[in-house]
Amino acid sequence: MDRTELQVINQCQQGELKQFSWLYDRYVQKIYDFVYYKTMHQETAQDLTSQTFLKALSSLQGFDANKGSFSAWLYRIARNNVIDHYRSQKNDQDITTVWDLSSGSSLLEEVANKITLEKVQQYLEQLSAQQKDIIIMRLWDGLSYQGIASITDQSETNCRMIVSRGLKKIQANLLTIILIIASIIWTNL
Amino acid sequence: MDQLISAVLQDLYKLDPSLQAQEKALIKLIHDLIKAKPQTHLTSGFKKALAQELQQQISGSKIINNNFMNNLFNKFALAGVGVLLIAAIWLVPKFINQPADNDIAQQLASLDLNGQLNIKTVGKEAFGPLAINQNNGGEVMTNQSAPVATQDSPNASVPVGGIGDGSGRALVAPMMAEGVATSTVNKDMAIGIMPPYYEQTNYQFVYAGEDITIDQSELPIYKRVKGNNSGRQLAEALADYDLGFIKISSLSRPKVDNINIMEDKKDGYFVNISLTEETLGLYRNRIYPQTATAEIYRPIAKNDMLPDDELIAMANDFLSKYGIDTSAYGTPEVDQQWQVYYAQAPAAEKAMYVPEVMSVVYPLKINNRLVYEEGGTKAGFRVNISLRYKDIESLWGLTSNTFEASNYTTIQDVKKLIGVAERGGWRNSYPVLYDENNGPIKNMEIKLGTPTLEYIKLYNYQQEKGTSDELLVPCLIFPITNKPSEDYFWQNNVIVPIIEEVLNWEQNLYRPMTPLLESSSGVMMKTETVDSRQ
Repeated sequence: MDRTELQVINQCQQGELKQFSWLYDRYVQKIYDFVYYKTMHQETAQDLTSQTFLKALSSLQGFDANKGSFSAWLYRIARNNVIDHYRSQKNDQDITTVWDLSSGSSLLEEVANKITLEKVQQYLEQLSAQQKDIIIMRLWDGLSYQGIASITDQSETNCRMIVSRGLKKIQANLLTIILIIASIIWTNL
Repeated sequence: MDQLISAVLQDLYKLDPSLQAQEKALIKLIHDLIKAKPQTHLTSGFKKALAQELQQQISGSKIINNNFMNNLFNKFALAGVGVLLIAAIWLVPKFINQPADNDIAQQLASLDLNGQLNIKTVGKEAFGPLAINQNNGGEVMTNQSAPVATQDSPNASVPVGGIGDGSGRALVAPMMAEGVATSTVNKDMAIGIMPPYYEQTNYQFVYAGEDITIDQSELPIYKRVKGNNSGRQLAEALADYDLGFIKISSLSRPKVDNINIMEDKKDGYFVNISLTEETLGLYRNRIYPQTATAEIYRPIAKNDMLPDDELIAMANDFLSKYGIDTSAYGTPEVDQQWQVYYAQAPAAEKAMYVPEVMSVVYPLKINNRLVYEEGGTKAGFRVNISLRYKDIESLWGLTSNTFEASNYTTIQDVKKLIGVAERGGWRNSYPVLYDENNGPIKNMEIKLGTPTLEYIKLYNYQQEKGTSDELLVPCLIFPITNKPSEDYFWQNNVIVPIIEEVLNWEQNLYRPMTPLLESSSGVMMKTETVDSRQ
């Protein structure tokens, strides 16, 4: 966590809540993306993003920088919201079955996205829910293993193990291996 | 992208060198995967809407770190239009990337309303002529203006202001004076809240204290500085915004006068902050059940009373919780004035005199001296505690305490001062009563102890401005050492200002109420007022 972010959080915790707008500007896109990747539905992603920031604002006093980064704390809230969303919907759908490309993009984009997403869907179907969850965080959200560990209540080593096991499980499928390696690309984008 | 793909391939080969044999297929797949990352569209509309929702959340919490105001904002959910406007207009631009305007934030921060004592010394007699003697801003109903209820005229109005401290005086803030002095009740209604009947008595005040001297030829009078133009500046800062209902800029000399905040919950508190007067009032917004319960209508009994230390502890806890500064105030004490009425009431009526609420008074102190109201009670703010609900019912009288100090000439002639005290003080509230046929009807000697130098809070009405200056004037407080218990007698002390100009402003001042009283024999009695200048 950089010094500026820490200062802003400290100011918020001391009552200068107007500074929260700085955090909001910094993270709103990332959190929206994170939630969208897990829901693939624009309105749901908006709802869950709203819930995440409102909850973060109301809980900010409880954030302890000594226990982890603000980023991981915020992603964790978002992830819990996604979990609660699926629970409340009593819906076992996940990103492999929920596709909503009506996100304001052009028709051409939508078609292209749909084709590529269908491919991704095929790759991901070979993974367990836990593996999918962690791999998406690693690949699409560009989160580090340390960050993923904080968000999922797993140890960093365990996260690596989960990915490794998933890799072995579908080792024959080169595409899945590439998915994992591709995280390097997206992390550095 | 080629470089990225190349990097991925190198990492992949480190993991499994045998994959190099499938490089062509891998390159295509990596390319597809990079493109497969879903495109998200965070719309600006959603982003702004969420920003606004967040700012509303922030408005309901803490706005700025500004003690008095801030502690309140921190505690109370936002409901008042004033605060809502301020907070919304101030915060929204920060989220929706409109040009930042710090004026409103600066104005809010500059309010700095709190109870801390701040004194600025100004030149001698800087407050000009103390014109209190001209007009007090409040009409007082005397025997000339107020019809007195009699048996022949039972529906005539009686001044409510005459009840309670026995003075009927209107030397309070003009609005209050107007409200008190002109409120009228039906005679039958009035009987229910009147103090018990007492035999008319002439009180003769006798000084029995030690020799005193007034060493200072001059002493400061303090004038409370309030308003500070903050309400107008705040309105000017708001004027650039179209609030939807109205454009503030279309108003002539707009001014934010009040901020109302309430706790948006059952039985929450409602708070009013006057930027003009720099005062705070708070009361509980109770929601009573539609179905009457026994507890709501049960008369409060004496055994509902709480010990003083418990009442004070409750008040202190409340003030601490809401961050209200008490540094300018002395040791809190419980107002037991109700006991005067209770003790003298007939046994069958005593229950009527047990109050619903008890007041814990935080007396204002200036330069380590107490400040008194004209009636002789200590000035300050009050935390009122409900005996029925055993919690804080309201808080009244909290003000900012910024004063200007200006020296005025004192009266060092102690004989004159004691003489005024022996006539019952500069505003004797006890008229001398005469039976037209038999003269004074009863005399009682009241002994006065050695006085202390304190301050009295007065309102100096400014005719041109139509407002009153709040002044703290040096005075002698003569304690009454033999307060009669068998008579209705509310007074605990006698007050004599020691500033020449103030003591002399009695001319043309209101007269104590001199109602025509009907004796038991049916003879109408006259009253006589006392001139303290004699």
